Amino acid sequence: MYTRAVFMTDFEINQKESFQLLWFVVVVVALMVYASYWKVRARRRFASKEMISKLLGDSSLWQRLAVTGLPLLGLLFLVLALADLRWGEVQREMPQKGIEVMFLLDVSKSMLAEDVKPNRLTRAKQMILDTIDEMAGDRVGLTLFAGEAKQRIPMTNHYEDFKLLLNEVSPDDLGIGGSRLGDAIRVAAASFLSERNDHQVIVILTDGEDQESEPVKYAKEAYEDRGIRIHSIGLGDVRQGGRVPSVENGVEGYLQFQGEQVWSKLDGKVLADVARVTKGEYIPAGTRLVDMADFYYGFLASIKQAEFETATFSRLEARYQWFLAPAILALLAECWYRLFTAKRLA
Amino acid sequence: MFEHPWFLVLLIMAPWLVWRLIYQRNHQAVSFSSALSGVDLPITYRQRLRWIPDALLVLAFVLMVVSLARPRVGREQTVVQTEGIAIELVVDRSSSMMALDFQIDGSNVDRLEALKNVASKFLLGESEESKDGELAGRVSDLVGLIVFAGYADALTPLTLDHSYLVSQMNQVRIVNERSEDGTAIGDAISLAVEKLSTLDQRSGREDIKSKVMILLTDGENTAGDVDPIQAAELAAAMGIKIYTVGMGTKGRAPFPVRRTADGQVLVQYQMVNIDEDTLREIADKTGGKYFRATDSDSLKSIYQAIDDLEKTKIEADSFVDYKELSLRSHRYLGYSVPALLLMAFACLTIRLVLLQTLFRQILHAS
Repeated sequence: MYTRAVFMTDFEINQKESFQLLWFVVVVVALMVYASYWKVRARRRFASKEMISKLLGDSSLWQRLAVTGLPLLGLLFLVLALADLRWGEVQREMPQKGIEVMFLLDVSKSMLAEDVKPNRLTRAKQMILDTIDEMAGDRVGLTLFAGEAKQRIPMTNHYEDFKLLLNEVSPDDLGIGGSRLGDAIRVAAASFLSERNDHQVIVILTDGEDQESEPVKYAKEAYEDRGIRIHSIGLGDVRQGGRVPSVENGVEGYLQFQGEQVWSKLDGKVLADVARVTKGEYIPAGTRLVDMADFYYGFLASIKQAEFETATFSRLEARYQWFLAPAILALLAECWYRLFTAKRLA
Repeated sequence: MFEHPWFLVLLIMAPWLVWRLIYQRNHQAVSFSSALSGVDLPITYRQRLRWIPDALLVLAFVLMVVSLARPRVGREQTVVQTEGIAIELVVDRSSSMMALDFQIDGSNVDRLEALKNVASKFLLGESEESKDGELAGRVSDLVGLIVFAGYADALTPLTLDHSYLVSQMNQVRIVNERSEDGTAIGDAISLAVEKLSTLDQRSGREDIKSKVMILLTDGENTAGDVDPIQAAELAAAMGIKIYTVGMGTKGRAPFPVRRTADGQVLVQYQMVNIDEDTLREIADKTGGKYFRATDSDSLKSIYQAIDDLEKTKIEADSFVDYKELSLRSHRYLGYSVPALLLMAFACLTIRLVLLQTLFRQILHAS
């Protein structure tokens, strides 16, 4: 969703980029000049100087200006309207509605595998960022897990802060290696702010398999006791997998176990089960790019929203109508001219 | 959904425009010697498509009228950011700050102690609920601390973590080594200027419009390499404002000498001097102000004055505001719908291009 960051000032131009549209106006003007040149020549070919106004009629300078100037004026006013100028403070009260989404991000070593470009963890972070870009009013939190689970960012609607903190997440944040998804689900379920749960969702991003911590059991518990839905997104190659880069004694190489390189594969069975028992969705992203806007609108935005609070704030009033009205008038004036004045000329 | 739905009444003009412009199009006539040669001419695709520019015009009209009614939904995440100030506190800790001419709650304290007390209130606020005439705290400002005597030291970087800064400030002690003593005002100012002017690159925050230094001293420039006035000129060139505060009495001031066995502090009066002219000049050169603090109350009122002079506009806030659908694209039924006015602009532009190229006419008034 569109996020606006502004300073409080007395005057704002919110969409400066709209002024780029003036290039189209320039093109139109150039075409008008060219067309009028063509018109003069065509008229000359059509009839001699003495006959031409008799045959085709003539028009005054004003009439020609009306035909070319009015549409151009309208376009210019439209560009001004689109620039979204704002002035004059107004106080507004708005209910702040949304859902609560806890992202559950796997930060185990295997997330560094590069079968997904640039690596699984970076891709997962990007997916979270892309989802947040679609949000307005929703609250988001972040829980990290590997061999343990920790809430990293509590529920917040300050997306900018969330993004900054998310960018700093690395596998070093958690000491113990592993992939204890079940623990993570328990921690995440406990971290929602309110007890009313039909607006609460957990989104898991992982590559992993987890047999020890009974994720399906805890997911079921979270759904049956508290109504929390869980969507899961699986990252990583399914067949071949990816090697996990690691640095040992200053030498860059790949993670080894008993002298053999470890190839980490996506195993989505548990993830699919977790999603199934909570009426969520499992998305086997694998190494593909997933459109997170579709994900957000398809699976998250459709949930019942909760009303968090009513925010009172003062903002500058949008004034695009002040420029739109003259644009409409210019358009109508041109129509009027075409319908009632131009006819008589023919 | 619509803020001003009455404008939608204008839409009744749309069918009329369609009727007049497209169905009832006046077939313009041109006098020609013989029309016979044109009888068998086939109807060209241009003639068939002649309605397109007019249809685009009506479509743009509809979009614009709908926009005029101001359709909007409450789905625009808005962040109102603080226009912050960066404040560098520059504090004298030379031996003359030991003079006991300030009071906190009725007991005599030295100048540095009095300063710590007021400065921490200035940063953190005096009480939970701020009242009029009280310091409210500088929650959203970056604050840094420099102390100086014979040398200037940057104790903390410019930070929003004010409790950290206050705890650092509380650990500041008056110099006790003669070799470090002195009052290097010029050096301190130039160090502060350096910290404030490199702030933009360091923090990446470009929203800091105002940079301020509060220089507190009780003496004359007696040490250091930089002349205070030159340093002030440097600050002025960088757009940094300096408030200068001269502390303590001029002339005779009580200094602690030693403690008697029953805990009483013996004082001895010594001559002290504040170079007020220089401090005033520093303030004037940089657009700041010179203050004179003779007791705790006047020191507090000085901070209040600076507090009022350096207002931070508004704190950062994040909330959902209306999204103007005329100006922003919106997701509807799985499709991204562009801003209504952008579509109107596209229609009108395409129409004009078509009129000047494919459908251009020999008649003037077309």
